[in-house]
Amino acid sequence: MLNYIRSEFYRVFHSKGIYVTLALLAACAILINALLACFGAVSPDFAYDNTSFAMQFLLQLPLLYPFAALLIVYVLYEGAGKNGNLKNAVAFGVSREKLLAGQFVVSTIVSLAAMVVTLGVYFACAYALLDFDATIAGTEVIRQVLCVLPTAIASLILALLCVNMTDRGFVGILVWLLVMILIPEIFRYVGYRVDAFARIADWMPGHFMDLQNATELFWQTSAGVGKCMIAGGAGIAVFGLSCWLVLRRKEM
Amino acid sequence: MTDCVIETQNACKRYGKLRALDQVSIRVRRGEIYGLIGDNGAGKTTLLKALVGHIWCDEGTVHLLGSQSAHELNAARRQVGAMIERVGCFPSLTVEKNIEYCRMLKGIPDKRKVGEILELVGLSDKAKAKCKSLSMGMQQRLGLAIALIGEPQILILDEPINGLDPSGIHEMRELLRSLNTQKNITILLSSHILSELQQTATTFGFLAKGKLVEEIGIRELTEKCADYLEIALSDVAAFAAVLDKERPQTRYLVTPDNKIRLYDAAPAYEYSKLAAEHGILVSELEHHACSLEDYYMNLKEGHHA
Repeated sequence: MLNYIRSEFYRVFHSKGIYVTLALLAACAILINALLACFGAVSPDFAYDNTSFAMQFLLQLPLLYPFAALLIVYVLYEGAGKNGNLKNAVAFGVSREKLLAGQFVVSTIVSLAAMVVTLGVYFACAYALLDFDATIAGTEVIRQVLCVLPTAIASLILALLCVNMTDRGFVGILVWLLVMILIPEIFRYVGYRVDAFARIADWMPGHFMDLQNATELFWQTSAGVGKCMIAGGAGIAVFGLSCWLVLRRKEM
Repeated sequence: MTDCVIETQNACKRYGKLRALDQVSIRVRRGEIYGLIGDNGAGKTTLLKALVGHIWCDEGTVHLLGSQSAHELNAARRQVGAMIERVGCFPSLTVEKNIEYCRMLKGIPDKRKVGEILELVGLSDKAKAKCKSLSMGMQQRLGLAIALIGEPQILILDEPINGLDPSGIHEMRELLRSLNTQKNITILLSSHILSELQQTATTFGFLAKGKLVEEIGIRELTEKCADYLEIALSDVAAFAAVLDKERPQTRYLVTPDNKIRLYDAAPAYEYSKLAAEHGILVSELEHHACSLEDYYMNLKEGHHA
């Protein structure tokens, strides 16, 4: 498996895909802060050209990280089945379980690196271009990221399942959206009438990380942090098991 | 068993109601070049896929290099180089980087192997070209390079000369022969181009509708396909007596339609001269050469009948 991981890192660092993705993510981070700074410069009454608002903006998007995990997995592995690369690895005697584990390790490390780089650029731009305001500090974002991390990893495993399950990338993304977004929404709406659904929906990240209707910020309470860890851990277990069951006998 | 490096025992594979493989048992001995022959859908690629682990057999077993368990089979696959269907490569990486990727995947420490393999398959001048820009023939060479990295004991190749130009076919044939004779690599390959296979393989397996119809060695095939000269004569019995007396080494057969078949390398004019010398009139003289294709077509007709 180590050979597979080494070769995958070699491929990732010698392909354009990950650099283009990182550049786009960094460009978005720069653009958001630059726009806030521009509006602040043009209009003196503009109240959002400060670091607190920049941090608040990020805090409002906890599902950004699971989405980013999906993006990275698709950048790394979309088309692998179609191009026949996995066939080579299997013919070389790498078992499907090891392939999956290798893909998980590579995409997790690359995703974490991409997150560090993008957040680093975002923070640097915010503190360089905007007025400093200590109301919401960057550490708050880091606390939230740590809470969301298990869910992001579960999302990454689900994305691996989707990308390996079908050669049609679009179908895989639809399945991911169905599981991560649509099903929690369905449970939430059915939950208005059936209590059992509401209780289940309470444990779905797509629901409890939605801050629009939240009465408290999940990463600031021990109950919220606990829920993140349990839901994320359950997601990792369920999607990991699904991956193993579906893909270990997948024919090529 | 020790001499047998590839073996399937009653391998079956079904896709719905279709039996892609039906009780297929083949044995490929070390050092052989085994040619799989069959129409589209006969089960050639399915068999090769089952050997390299792309698919699983529903019934039966697959053994490589004497493997006895799934774990041993996977370990044995590290000694196998394969090219099945399309070449598996990363289109946006260069040829050299694709080989380098495979070198790392196989855990080969020597970086010089990449250059050596490229040289061997004639891709050195395309090392910096992206895979997506390669012609089909070049991609076939890349596929072979990927299969060859790590000095495998067995090569499993599905239609390796597809898309190659005539000189490419010649080079591929010579390369496969030299890998077989100089490095003692056992080769299992399928091809539709039977004339090519006849020049390369030492054993042939004929597949039809998922079944192994016949397995035959090149020597037996040559005997069965032996060229012969068929002569229609005014007096077949007299000519047979002449042959017995003057050419006792000549193998011949008198056919029911009163002709004589001579399995001898001697030129046709010698026999017409011999007949004339004994006052026997030659009315027809035809040279028959049975190719692998003829043999296959006869076998197919027999199988269908």
